[in-house]
Amino acid sequence: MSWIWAKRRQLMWIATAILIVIPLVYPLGLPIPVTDEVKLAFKYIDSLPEGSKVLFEAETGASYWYELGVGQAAITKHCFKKDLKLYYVHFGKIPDAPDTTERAIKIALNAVPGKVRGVDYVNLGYVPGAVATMTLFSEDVRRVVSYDHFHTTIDEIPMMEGINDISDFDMVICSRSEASGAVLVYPKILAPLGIKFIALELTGDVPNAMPYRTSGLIDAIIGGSAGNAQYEYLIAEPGRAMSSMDVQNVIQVFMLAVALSSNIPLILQRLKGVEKL
Amino acid sequence: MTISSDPGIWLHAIITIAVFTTLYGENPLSRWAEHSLIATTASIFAVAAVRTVIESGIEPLLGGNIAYIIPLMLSALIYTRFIPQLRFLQRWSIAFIIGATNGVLISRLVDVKIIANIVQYIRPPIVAGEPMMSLGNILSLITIITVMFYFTFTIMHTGKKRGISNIGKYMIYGFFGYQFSTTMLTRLMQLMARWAFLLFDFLGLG
Repeated sequence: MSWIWAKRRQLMWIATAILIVIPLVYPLGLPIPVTDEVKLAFKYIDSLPEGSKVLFEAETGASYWYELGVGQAAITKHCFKKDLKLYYVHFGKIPDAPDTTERAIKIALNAVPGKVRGVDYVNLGYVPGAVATMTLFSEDVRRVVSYDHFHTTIDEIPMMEGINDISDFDMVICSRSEASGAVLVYPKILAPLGIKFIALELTGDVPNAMPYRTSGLIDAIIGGSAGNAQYEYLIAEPGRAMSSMDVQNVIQVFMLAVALSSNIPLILQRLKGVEKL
Repeated sequence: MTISSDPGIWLHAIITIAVFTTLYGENPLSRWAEHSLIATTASIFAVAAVRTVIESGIEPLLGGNIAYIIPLMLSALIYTRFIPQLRFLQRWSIAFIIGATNGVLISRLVDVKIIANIVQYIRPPIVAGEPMMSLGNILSLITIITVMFYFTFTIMHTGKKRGISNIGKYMIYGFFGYQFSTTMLTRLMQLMARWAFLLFDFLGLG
């Protein structure tokens, strides 16, 4: 027993690794119930007419691929299928975010080929700064962005024609809207214009973003890998998010079991009158 | 199973495994992986910063927009910290950044974070025909009152008041628990991403 106690950290990691690997390799095929929230986000994007301009402000680093990037890829696929114009821009503190976006675009292009850079989608690269940069961008796009991610001047990009400020877009989607501060900038400008604002949040950030959803500042939230899986299900494009749901379910049950089994003896000892272990 | 022949994927996989070896204990391989991550991150940030100064400051200045001399000078003043006699000048840059950020943020913070949320929670506790919404509204009301009471220190929390304060405390615990579990889930998804990379991208199982 003392050996187990001494090596408990390693044993926990081994157990976690086994419980991740098995459902990944042998999917259990557990059902994925779609929440109203994700249905709403899907409905808003799906109802946009062909050629609508969608701004996607992505603060997605490589480490958040399963939590945000996979969702970004699913939304990109959906936009490509609907023939929407996608404008990717990246603010905040993640300089590698444009590369994560490229990964999402590559996945979407495999599913929906034939889309042309500069005509159907554009990656406007990374610009440091948060709320101040977003505010300036919403007022004058060209004062913040001069080139795309591949150093093409925006005047040479066909789909940038007529894009001057945030009102020129038909929808704004933002990953990590609460943490990046985007929720402080865009909704107040977009709401009077009738432009929907959709947030793609980390599972851990959903509790912080939810008050903005209930107050109407955010029109729909796609929350973490579960939200991404539901979105993949809705667009009928099963991907890595859907396959990760089995892992998430198994791991949640395991964590709950560990939490309960660790706490029950403590509670029992308290009830017996022992103050501390 | 087809193991990847891409050198980038191999490097990626070696670093991932090197980080996993930390579980066995601190070792040179894991330290190498950690240092590589820090060095890469620092270099990316450095390149991004230099690129931004050139694109957002120097190029517009050379293009004839003389106003850009102000942010460039303020940026340069940061480096006066290395000259003891002129060190005080760096405070101007910092003061400008803090002042400008507060100026942009403060009205939005009040408007979005405080007023919008307060307005949202002014709603009837009972909604006819909507039992779940009513339950949620009542729970919200109880939470707001009890949590606010918990943080009201001008009243002694004794007797029945202690009960109200305790409800508030447990509501806060509930929120912390929810937040902790969702954060755990985010971290586990990151771990799963690494395993998925090793299994599918590196070993070619999927």
